Amino acid sequence: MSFRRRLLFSLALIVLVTVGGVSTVVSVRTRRAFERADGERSDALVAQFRREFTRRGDEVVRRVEAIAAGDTVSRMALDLSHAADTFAYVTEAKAVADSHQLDLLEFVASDGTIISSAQWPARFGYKEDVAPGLPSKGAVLRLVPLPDGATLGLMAARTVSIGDKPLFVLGGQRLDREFVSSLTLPAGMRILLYRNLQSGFSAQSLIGPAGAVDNADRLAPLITRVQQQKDDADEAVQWSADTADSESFHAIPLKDDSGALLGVLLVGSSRRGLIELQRHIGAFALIVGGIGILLAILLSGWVAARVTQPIERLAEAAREVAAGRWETQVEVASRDEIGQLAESFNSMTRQLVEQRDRAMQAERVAAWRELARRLAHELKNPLFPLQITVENLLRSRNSVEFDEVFRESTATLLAELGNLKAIVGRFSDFSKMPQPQLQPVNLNDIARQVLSLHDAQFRVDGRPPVTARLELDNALAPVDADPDLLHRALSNLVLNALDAMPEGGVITVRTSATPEHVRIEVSDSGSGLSREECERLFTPYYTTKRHGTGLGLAIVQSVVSDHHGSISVSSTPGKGTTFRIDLPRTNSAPANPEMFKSAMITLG
Amino acid sequence: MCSSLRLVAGSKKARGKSPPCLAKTGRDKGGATSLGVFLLAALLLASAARAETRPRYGGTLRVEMRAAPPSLDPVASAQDEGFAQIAPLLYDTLVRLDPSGRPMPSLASSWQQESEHRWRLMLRQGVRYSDGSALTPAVAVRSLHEANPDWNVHAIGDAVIIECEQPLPNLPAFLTLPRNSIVLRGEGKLLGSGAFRVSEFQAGRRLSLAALEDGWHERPFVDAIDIQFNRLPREQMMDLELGRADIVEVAPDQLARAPQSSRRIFASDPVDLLALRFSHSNLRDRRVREAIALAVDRDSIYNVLLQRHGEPAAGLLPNWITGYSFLFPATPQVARARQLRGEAKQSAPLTLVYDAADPLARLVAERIALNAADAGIALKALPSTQNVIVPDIELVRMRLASTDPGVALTDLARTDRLALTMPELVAPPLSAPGFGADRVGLSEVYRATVAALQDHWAVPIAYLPAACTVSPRVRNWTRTRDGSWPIDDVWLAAEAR
Repeated sequence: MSFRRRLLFSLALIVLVTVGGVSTVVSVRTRRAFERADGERSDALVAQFRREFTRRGDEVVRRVEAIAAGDTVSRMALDLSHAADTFAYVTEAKAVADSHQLDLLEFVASDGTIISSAQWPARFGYKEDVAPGLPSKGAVLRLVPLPDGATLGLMAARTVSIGDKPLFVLGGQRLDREFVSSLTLPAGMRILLYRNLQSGFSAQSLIGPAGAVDNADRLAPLITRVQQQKDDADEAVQWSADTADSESFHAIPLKDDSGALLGVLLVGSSRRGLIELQRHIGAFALIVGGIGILLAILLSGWVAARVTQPIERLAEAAREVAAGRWETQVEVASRDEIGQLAESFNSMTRQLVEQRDRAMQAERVAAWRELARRLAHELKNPLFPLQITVENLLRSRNSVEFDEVFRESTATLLAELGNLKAIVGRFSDFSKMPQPQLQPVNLNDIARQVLSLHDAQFRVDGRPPVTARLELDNALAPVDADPDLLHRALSNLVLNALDAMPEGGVITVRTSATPEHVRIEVSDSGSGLSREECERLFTPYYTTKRHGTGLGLAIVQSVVSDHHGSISVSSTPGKGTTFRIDLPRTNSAPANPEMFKSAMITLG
Repeated sequence: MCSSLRLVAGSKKARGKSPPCLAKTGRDKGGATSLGVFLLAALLLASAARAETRPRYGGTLRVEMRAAPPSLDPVASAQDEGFAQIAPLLYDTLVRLDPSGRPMPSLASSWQQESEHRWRLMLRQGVRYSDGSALTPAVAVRSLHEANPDWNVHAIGDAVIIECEQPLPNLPAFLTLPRNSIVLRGEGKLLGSGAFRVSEFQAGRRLSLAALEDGWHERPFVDAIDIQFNRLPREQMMDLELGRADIVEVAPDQLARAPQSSRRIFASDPVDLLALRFSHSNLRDRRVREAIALAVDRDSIYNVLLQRHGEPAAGLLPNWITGYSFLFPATPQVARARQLRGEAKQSAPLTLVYDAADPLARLVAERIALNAADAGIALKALPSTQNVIVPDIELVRMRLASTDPGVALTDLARTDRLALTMPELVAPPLSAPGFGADRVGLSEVYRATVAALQDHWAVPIAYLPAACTVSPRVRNWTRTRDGSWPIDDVWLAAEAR
């Protein structure tokens, strides 16, 4: 992963973590704030409902008092005090209840006998429990028996005392669907009533403004808790998979004047608006956060690019230097650490170039010295016989043997001059290396021809034999090359190998192929080369042999370079040396011909 | 030995009515001047009153009723509520009962019991149906045969012969039942020889009748009768108040309010039986049925719910018809009922279905449920609109078919509304005061009643009167003991201008 990407990834990660952390904190804080607001709203709604409930109770008391003070009840009380029959009043309660808009009304004699019942006319003659203190109280909750069961009633009682026997007026309103639906409630709020008519939870006992409540079982835990604790309780109920479809419920236990739990009133407040607002805020925050993250990433990319661009230029320059272009310089755009680094890099490359120039100058001087030394050495060898021969010829000028000496001396002179000419010719040949004439060439054939040419030299009398071995890749494809130059280069390598094994050994010529190159190797089992020798092997006029001109391997390298190939050497002292030539499958000009001028050296 | 009775009906003109209830125009001859002035004023007032009470022809009598007979076929609708009041307007029977319950000639001018199993009835001559066709023995034979398939009915000359394998001691009384109306059937039409013909009939909604101008009856005073069916008591009273009805029904529990209102209310003797009918499939345990029968507090129902109108019922027929209803104990026995309930181990709640259109039925049903609860029996009163498939108990209200105890009891036995199991009334005639020798003896009726009630498949609760109130423009409406409508003598006052 590049430095820019790492930097970008790091910056993005920092942004993500930061935004995520901030979002989490804001989300939690926002949710708590909303829940607090929802709780306060629910409390306000519950308080409003309690006021409404109290108002309804006061209304019931007022109506019952109006009935008790009415003519009908007064007449009834008067008749009862005169021991009149009560049957005539059996339907009176219903008529009076209708006129005073009460659901429940009973006229009860002093002994508790029901004279008339609006809600259950057939119940006349049965007993009704009228607690002694009840007529002086306000509205209370009571369980009122009905033909089809029982109901909850918000009841009030008053006494009519005309004559000897009091008459009780017991009236109220049913706490049923109509009562629930008639309550004035704010939007988003609803009232559910659970009538605690049996032990445990019964879904049928839960009613709302529309009658039965769907999914009533979801309220069972809350109602059961209130049944057990007989105290207010709160709970949020989710009605469906949609989290917005939920309500906050505040459960209020409904007790009669003796404290018995008659029902549970559930004040529901829809959470839809709250949750949708939360969702809206969440979605807005997500969008803003996403856009922010995207912008942050883009900004991070720009920053990373700005930060890494000088470094990348330095890296590119370093690669240029590595590729041999030591004169590469980078632009210094700042004065910070990166600018200092760039200046240091430029300084370094300048020093490298200077050192290279100096090294090249020194090497050139050394080469010239070596050339001079070699030339002197090469020339000195024939010159000394020439001097001796001339001196012998001068000394024998007057001897009888002059002719023979003259003949021998001239022969020697001619031979040594021939040597001098040959030496000069080799130097001349090196300076006049011909351009390769490319044609499809099978390296296996070249290898066979070279070994066949030098076969006689491998078995010279008086010298330990050398074994030549061919390890050829028969599937080797032809390459574009000059067969004569390759033959010459390979012959030089074979002769070098032969010279490297004065004690005999094995010469192995090996061919192989890679996807891009064909390779030919020449290995010997000689004494090997030292590192210094390897490094200077391809220097012209450098030789490790007593009679070499130091041009053989230079010629080989020149041939290989002209074929856009490369040559390398690997040597293990005491075990032998291997020269390896790689030629491209298709011979075209390389992008960087310099690289083919270098040789690779590997030491074992 | 076969007893025989021969009665000769009066002619049509003999049955003709004279203007009833004419106001008296008293004249007191005195010598004092002041008395003379007073008499003069009285004369003027009496003249005005006479003008108001003079019968007049014309007008449409608007009647509303809770019942809704599905058809006008006397055979098919004989047991339908309300049909007994409509049938006499359209159809005639061979025999009719006079106000004292005695059989009187109608389409049959005379009859004779030729043997224990055979009767001969002579048809009245000159009777025509509403389409002008004459009454023939064949028409009578066909009508009687359709109403009584087990009878062998045939005509000999102008006589109709009725034979049956069972003895027919009180056949004339049976022939007064509406289902024995003599109707002319043909081509989808059903014609009667009554004083009215059908103008329009919408089953369950309304029936329009038009007076026959040339029937064998005297022409009624009213031109037409418009009967609205299926009207709730509250709707009937509202229509009466608004002048949209002339005759409406009054529930028994409303009769107590009559003195407080200016309405004229006409209540019959108790003619409706209010009873519990137990399901043969659901309540097979006799002890449960008996427990409920013992738990019912009939006196409370009579005193309070019926406002002391009608009669507590422990038997099947009211006291004014039989004279012995006191023999059936109506006092609740809650302790015994509890004991029976405990023995029966009935625990599942029972359903008691009542007529949702009858407010009184609801009150009675709820009271019975309370009484049953006292005996430890859970009874849930449900209106008929709740469509209980097979109710355990039904509260039924049915009109007694006849004022003849034998005929009424036999009709109760035949109807499936009570599902009674009753032996045939085959006893010889009983010579009892007030009852003819051709009627079933009261002791047989009593024994049959006891037998019918001993398994408690039906539990009588109360007898109810049939009551109605009329609008001010209805004149000469009179009370009848059996709750029938005295349409023949009714006229309508002229509209005020």
